[in-house]
Amino acid sequence: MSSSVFTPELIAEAQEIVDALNSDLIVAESEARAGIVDPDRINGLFRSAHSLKGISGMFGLSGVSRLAHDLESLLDGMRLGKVQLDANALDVLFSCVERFGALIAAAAEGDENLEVGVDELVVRLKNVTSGDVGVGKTELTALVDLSADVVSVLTEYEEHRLRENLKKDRNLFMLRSAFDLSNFDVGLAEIDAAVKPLGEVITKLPSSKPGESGTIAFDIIVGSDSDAESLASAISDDRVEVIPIGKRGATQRAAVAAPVAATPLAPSTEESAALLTSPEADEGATIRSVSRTVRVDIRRLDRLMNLVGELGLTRMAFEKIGEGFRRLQGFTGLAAELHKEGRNFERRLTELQAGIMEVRMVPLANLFERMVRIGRKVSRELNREVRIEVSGEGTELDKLIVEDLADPLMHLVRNAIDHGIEAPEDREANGKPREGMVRLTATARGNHVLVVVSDDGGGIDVARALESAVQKGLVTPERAAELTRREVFNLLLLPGFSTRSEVSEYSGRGVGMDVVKTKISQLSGIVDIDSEPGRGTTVTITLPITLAIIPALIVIVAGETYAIPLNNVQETLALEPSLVRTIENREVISVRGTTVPLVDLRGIFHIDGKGRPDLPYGVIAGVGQNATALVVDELVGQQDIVIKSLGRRLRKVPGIAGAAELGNQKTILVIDMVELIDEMARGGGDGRA
Amino acid sequence: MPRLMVVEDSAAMRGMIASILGQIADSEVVEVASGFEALKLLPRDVVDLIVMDINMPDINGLELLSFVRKLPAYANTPVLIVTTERGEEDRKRGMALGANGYLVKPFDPDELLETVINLLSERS
Repeated sequence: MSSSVFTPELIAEAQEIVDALNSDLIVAESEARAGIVDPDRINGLFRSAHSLKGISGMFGLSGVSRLAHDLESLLDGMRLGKVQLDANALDVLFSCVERFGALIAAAAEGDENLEVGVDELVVRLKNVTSGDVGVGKTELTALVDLSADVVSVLTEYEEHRLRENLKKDRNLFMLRSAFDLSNFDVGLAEIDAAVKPLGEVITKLPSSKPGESGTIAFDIIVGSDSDAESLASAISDDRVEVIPIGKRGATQRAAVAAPVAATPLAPSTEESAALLTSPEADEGATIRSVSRTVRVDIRRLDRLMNLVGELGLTRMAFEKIGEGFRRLQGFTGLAAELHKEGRNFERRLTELQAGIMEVRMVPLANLFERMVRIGRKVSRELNREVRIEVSGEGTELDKLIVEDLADPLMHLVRNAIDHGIEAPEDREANGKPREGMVRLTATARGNHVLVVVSDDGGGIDVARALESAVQKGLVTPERAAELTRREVFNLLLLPGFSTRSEVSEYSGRGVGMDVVKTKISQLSGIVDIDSEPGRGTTVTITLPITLAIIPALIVIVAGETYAIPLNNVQETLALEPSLVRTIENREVISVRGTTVPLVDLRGIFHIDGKGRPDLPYGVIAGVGQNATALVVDELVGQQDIVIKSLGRRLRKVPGIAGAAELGNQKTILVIDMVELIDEMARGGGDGRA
Repeated sequence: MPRLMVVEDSAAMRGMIASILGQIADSEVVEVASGFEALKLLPRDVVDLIVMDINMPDINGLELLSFVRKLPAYANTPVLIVTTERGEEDRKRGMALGANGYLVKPFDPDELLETVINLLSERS
């Protein structure tokens, strides 16, 4: 029956639905803790399950479809008040979300028939106890002032909500409203926002009385504890008439027109600001944007980005030709024109580039939510009491970076809970609250984003970490004595610091940290660890907001041209011979009181031939103790480059990030300073000239 | 040249239905993601057949159907409801409101094609 037309769009939509399920569940959980049940929330969960079932069934994702089917049944029972949303139910629901994620990931890899773990969850879903089932219902038309016409278009759920409101002895109203056909959705969203704090919008019916042409009328059914007057004044829109239709409302039958506010056309700025920022208003916004959203495969954007980069190169080639013309007699005027147009072209190109860049940006919210979910699971498994707080989730990053950030971030969150947060009893003994805290924050800093994972756990024991590093030969005992606290923490990022088999050795924070470091380096990012014994650990990841096009410094070493990504470069300076000293066979310079080792590519890449010129330049990369100066012969200038990966054979060369094309059709190597500095720290390359 | 409207909030599903309907000779498919969008377009457009989902945000398919039937231009336009098997009650209500057909997801693409072609030929 089902078609196997399998598209990235389908996977993206399925993933989106699962993300929505997850975020709604997280909110529902905290609401449940506070004793709140928001019918809209439960209905949202149901709708997500329903949509997931619809598309997975249609496209032949058998595992997802089966699970979604039973999840939908449970949530349907929940929204109809037959099943309670308790801790047990929440656990099952979260497990379902997790399973969906795995099944969809498998489907994306081509395994669409995976059903691992589905049976078990189906059983758990069925075991969630159902409560009493409402019986012997009175006809709705007998209870409220609604025509059979209206009742016939209500879904079972809407009918249930209507009865629930009656059960709670709320007033029921019909808001009769007329809007312009072109923007009625805006008007409705405003009513939603105004009504939500006072009650519940049960349904919106396009009115049974067709309005004048160009307008459309809606009958909005609302349940509320407020009376008609307060509802009308909250809405304060003269296009809306509030008509009581329910029991309590019936005592005040007279219709109340919503009074027009004192300044009907321009609500006070606070008011409109409140309207804009309230979640209800946001909901309105998303409803409106549904149809205007286009989902695009990121590779298509990559292709566009590459094209922009190549156009930039073409433009530079034109410029070169123009320069040639300028030297020819009789062509100077035309050459000047060409130059001018070239500048215009470049400006447009920059705008185009910024435009594409903007499209690639996504907020970190989804990723953070996934982390909260994982954190919940890990703390449950390890019997820790952990609260996970998230902030700055609106911060945007290149979609690809966000994707690649998932694994390292997951690792850090796991580590924080597994090895950072102490057992509740130990925490209490140390005068800490039983519940540990893991914080995920994101902040934008110019062209960079800082993602911080911090915990209030036991922290890292510097002495023991150092001891372990010496034992494993990662650092000599002599060098170890000189290391600052921060440098010691950075040792944790080295491969081989600790392995999985040693998880329980001690604080174990080094587990897999090198993997995190490698991943982040691939994203041109930097990892920094700080920790205070007894107070907790903070891991800071600094990332560029995009990878597609980066500004780079073009340099020449021994006749070869290289590019160094500018985000790695702290400063450049002329290396006067008098600045260079030799300490322990290593060349160093002093930069504002800090000793910075020199690295010469001649040594690292074993370039023979031309020696160092009389006055070379130093390109300083890395911060603080990590700062290193790369010796280069010439500084050519700054240029945007598109990094392309090298062939398989060269991919593993340490210190090379990839290749880029320069305007003159020349391919140059792009230096990975982070990796280069690592190599140095490990003593891999010989820094001497 | 039949103009067909698909009202469906799932993009993947909408795209699939549209591509199936696109196989009908000379057809033109209008895709909308919500009942609101349909309400906006219908009075200003001429559509020969509507395929709609029931479970959608804002206004459900039944509400949309009941409104559509009140627009003089659409009093007799064929409407095909395509929804999941849940809710026999919804199906009854849909047919009572004047739907001309009801398909349950997941459906066979050929079945959809056939049903739509039949509904179009009945009308002409």
